[in-house]
Amino acid sequence: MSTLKAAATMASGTATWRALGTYVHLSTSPAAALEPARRIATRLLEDVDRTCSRFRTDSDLVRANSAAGSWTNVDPLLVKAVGAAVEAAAQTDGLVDPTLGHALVAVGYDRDISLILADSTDPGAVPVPARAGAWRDIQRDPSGAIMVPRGSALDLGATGKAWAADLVVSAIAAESDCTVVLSLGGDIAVTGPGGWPVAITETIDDPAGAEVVHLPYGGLATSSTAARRWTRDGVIRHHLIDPRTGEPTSGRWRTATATGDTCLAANTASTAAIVLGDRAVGWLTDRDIPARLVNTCGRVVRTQRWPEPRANP
Amino acid sequence: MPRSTTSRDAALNCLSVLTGGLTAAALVGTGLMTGLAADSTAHKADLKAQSLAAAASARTLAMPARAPIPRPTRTVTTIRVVQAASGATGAAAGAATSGAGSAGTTSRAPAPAPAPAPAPVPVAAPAAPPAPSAAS
Repeated sequence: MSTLKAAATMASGTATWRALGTYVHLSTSPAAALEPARRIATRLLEDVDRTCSRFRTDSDLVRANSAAGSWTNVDPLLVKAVGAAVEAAAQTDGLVDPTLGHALVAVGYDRDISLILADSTDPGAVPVPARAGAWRDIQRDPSGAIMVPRGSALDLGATGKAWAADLVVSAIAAESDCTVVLSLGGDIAVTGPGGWPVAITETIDDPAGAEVVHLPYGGLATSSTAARRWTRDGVIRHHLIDPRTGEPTSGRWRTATATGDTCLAANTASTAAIVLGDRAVGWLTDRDIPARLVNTCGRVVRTQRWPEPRANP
Repeated sequence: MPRSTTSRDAALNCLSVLTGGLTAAALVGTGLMTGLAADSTAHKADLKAQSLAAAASARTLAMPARAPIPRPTRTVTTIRVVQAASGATGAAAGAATSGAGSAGTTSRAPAPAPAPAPAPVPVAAPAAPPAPSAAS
């Protein structure tokens, strides 16, 4: 247990703010490392928002989507973000698909989540499934250009936050040897000696009954259909889209938490689990991914390497 | 009243001339129509080719000018070493790059196996304020 006590031997510092349409929770140990770390995080998250947002008309992603079918010069940061999204699609055979931009607009996710009316009177739209394998046609030039496949639109919501969490933590670690943890809307990256404790709940608005675990390194991510929900044309919608149907997922899991050697890997697994539904446990077990799943009735199922919770003393 | 032989011969001759004339006219007409159709088809093919060429030209103009992608001039080998220890000892990653003199090709070391996903450890009393993992 000495490693679990490592963080306790030095006081930690925490800062919270909002970015990328979600909450940011940054902690460092020692606390003195917090302010420089916060500056790095703020700058990088602003860069990510400026280049990768689907809701900013001036973002590089919006320009590339509007020019689908032809090359668009973009910030190399977006090329990296798209590369991470394509990697996630390859690892899940398209279950985590970055070409769901049109599908998300069709279900009503066409602006920042804070601007979507909880009970919109807008009519429903015809679902737009992703063209099978369209993500394979995304072209990238690392020097700063991408080509979105004709007829598709990219959305990096499935992987963008996790990739950004890895990016920020790596940048902080390059400047300091502190232990740092960053939660970006539930997508957590940690680096440095000792790891960090993580409190897992389904939504940030409902912290009661959190399961606390210690994450030794890498990443941990929670995906849930219980958040980012709205009603359209009398039907409850959420942001996790099944690329095969273009509709919000309706499988047996409403929340999935998984770990990975990076936050991106963890988030790829948790998102794929929600999309897979009944096949999720087998898929996670085959890949030796510790995961905690909550079904639509609230029952928790853990895969092999996810521990049972320890009772409070 | 019986017709005379001369009258019958004249009628037959007229019929032959008429039949021959009609046949000739039909042949000439068919030839003319075939020629006109061929001309029309060739004209349409020309227009289509011109249209395709114009469209291709427009696409070329619409594409943003792209800087040429630099090609490798020497072999570059990147080896990424990932050390992941079980438990809470953390992970460290580093990269080393080496170059050789041969030109024109790029070789890459076999991709290392990804580090295993870390197993979380249950905590009853966390030593530091836990980071929240919850959807928002």
